Amino acid sequence: MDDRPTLARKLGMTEHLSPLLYKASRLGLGPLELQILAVQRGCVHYSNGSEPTQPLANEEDLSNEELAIALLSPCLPYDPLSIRCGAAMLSAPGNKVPSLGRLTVMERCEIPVRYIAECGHRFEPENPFWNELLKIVPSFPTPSGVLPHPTRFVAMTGFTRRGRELLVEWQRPLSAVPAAS
Amino acid sequence: MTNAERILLVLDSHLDHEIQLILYGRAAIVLGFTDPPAEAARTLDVDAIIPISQVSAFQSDERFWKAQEATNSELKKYGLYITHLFEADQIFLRRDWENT
Repeated sequence: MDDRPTLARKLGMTEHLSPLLYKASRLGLGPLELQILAVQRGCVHYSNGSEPTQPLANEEDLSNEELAIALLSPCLPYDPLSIRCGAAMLSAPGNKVPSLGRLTVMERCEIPVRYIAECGHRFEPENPFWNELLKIVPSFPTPSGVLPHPTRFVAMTGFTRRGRELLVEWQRPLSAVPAAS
Repeated sequence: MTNAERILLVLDSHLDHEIQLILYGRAAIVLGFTDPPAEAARTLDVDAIIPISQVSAFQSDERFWKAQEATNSELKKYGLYITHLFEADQIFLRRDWENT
């Protein structure tokens, strides 16, 4: 039994019986396994080097959209790494905004998804994916200090071969930018 | 037919055994009262309360969760769903709500 407070509690919400987390559980995926699966699907930034190579679940059984929302579920124990993995998976190539929006509402993930979309829009203002997501995910009051600082969703470099410059890259699996739907 | 009716009929069609759901929120208003406000009929989901005494049985009812998943999949094209299932201690209720 995990006695850590849930993200919901940290956000001042209650938990529900999450059908998505039950589905994940049926596939043998608890909170830690969801993070491992995110790494296996390309979130190598969050690898600790010990993840098994055999995928814990395939995309037919749990899509990238479902994995993103599961990692951001308010019913999970509060873990900033889970939120960071969820942020990366949210913008996985191929994710469809309408599906993400529906899952977000169904799983009561509006607060973290909206927050991440706002952060994504801030770092990638030209990426229509974030704008579309922001249009369909409602805004709720969000307590400060619970969700990771926006800079925790990106990789920053202050010095390159060209000298001193700031490069900021949103963390997502693989390297492509998701297409807006 | 209201959205709430449609959701529950689809859920029922996917179930192969009896379950008990205690509805609340707009779906309960539209289904439980005559002349409900129009706003209630527009709800896109059905919220339900699971009594604490039944939570464990509910959690282990694989056939329910599969039916629930199939329901949401079938209703995706209409934007309807049933996912907001709460244990009774996660919402405001009267102390003796189960006996009244």
